[in-house]
Amino acid sequence: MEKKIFTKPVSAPRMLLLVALAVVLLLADHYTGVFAPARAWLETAARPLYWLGNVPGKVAAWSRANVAGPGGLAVENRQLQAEVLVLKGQLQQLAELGAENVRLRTLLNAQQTTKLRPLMAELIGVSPDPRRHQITINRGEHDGAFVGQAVLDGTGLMGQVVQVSAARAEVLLISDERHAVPVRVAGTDVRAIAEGTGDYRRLRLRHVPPTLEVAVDDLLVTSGLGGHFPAGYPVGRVASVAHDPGQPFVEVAVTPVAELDRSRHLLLVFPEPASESPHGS
Amino acid sequence: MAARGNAALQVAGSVGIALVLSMNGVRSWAQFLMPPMVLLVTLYWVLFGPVLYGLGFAFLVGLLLDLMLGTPAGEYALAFCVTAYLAQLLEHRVRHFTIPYQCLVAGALTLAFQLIMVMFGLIEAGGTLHLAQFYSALGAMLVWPLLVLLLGRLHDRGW
Repeated sequence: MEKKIFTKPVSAPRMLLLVALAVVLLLADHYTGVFAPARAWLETAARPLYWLGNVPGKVAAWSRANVAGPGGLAVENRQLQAEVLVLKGQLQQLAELGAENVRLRTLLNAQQTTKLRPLMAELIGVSPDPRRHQITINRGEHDGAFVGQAVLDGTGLMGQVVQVSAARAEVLLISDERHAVPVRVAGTDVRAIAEGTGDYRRLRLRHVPPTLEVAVDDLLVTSGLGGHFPAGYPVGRVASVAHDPGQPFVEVAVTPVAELDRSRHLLLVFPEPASESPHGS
Repeated sequence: MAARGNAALQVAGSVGIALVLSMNGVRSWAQFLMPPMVLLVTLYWVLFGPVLYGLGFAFLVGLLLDLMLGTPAGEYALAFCVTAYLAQLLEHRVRHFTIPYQCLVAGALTLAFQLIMVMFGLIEAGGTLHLAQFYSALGAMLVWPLLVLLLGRLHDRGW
């Protein structure tokens, strides 16, 4: 009978040895990336776990879609039709603006902007560590996902891909403390860097001098500088601007427009070189 | 031998279920209350499981978590190992504690684990320290009785 009668040896040297081993692993992983094959292998092995972990979300989505009843569905259908109509109208305007932009850029002899091809992705996991605003999506190398790729939801920028395996990718959200994105204020074109704060509802602008024109409710969009993110996608709205006269910089708080802690359906953005002809949109 | 295999199956199964539970946890403010389920299950086996499941076991589960979650390899492994060591120091007493006292111990151990992870976070990102990062200790205290009940049932069936 192998029950609780056994006592385990409490060994400090053993613990220290394992801690030392962990430190060696940390350094090896940081400098050599020796664990990449193990991660890839585990990704395949853990697929059923991700699938199982995603079941509650799928059940909730299914019940929302099917348990609503015919009345609820009819209302939802009407709302969606109205939304589609509005979006189609806006799209027509965008097509015209896009064509005009291409003509103007040609006149200015400026470099052609890149067209972007989106690919739908679904959220399949969330990091269990609340310090890390990292999610897992069901697109990977097989779908062409790559490290540094921008990820959007229906309303704005969500984050960027930081790790890719065969069939899934890890996305670092813009609210993570390790994340920063170059932005500009739509309208005034003032440039800044929006950093994550570890709070899903808050970003901050770093090193903003008091002379800069930033006001509450200004929309910040990606500036495209740095090459990681395509330009022009909404990032957030300025929530508050606080200036302490004793400080050299202004504290600017930003509320992200993307639903960082809710969105389940996301878009991966693939840059595609624009065609040579200015009219070939 | 069969008993040992059975135990391994139970341990692996419970760790797997904890992994699934923590992968798609609730988000937003409630996420901070979400207890580290994998850690709690590991601590349960370290405290009440067969002699085989000690520091090495905690280290391996931590490493598995590192590789699965994309954290630097060794981060969770170190935190799990140190927390398991602290648990082992209290092992004899905890076995005789009533459930409310065990909950306090589970909360304290989760707090120690979070402290180590916060330390890693500060080294990595130079970020800020949020009090909310320690709320999971509260979640751990709430979940522990359920965990003891469920895993205890498995345990009592014997191996």
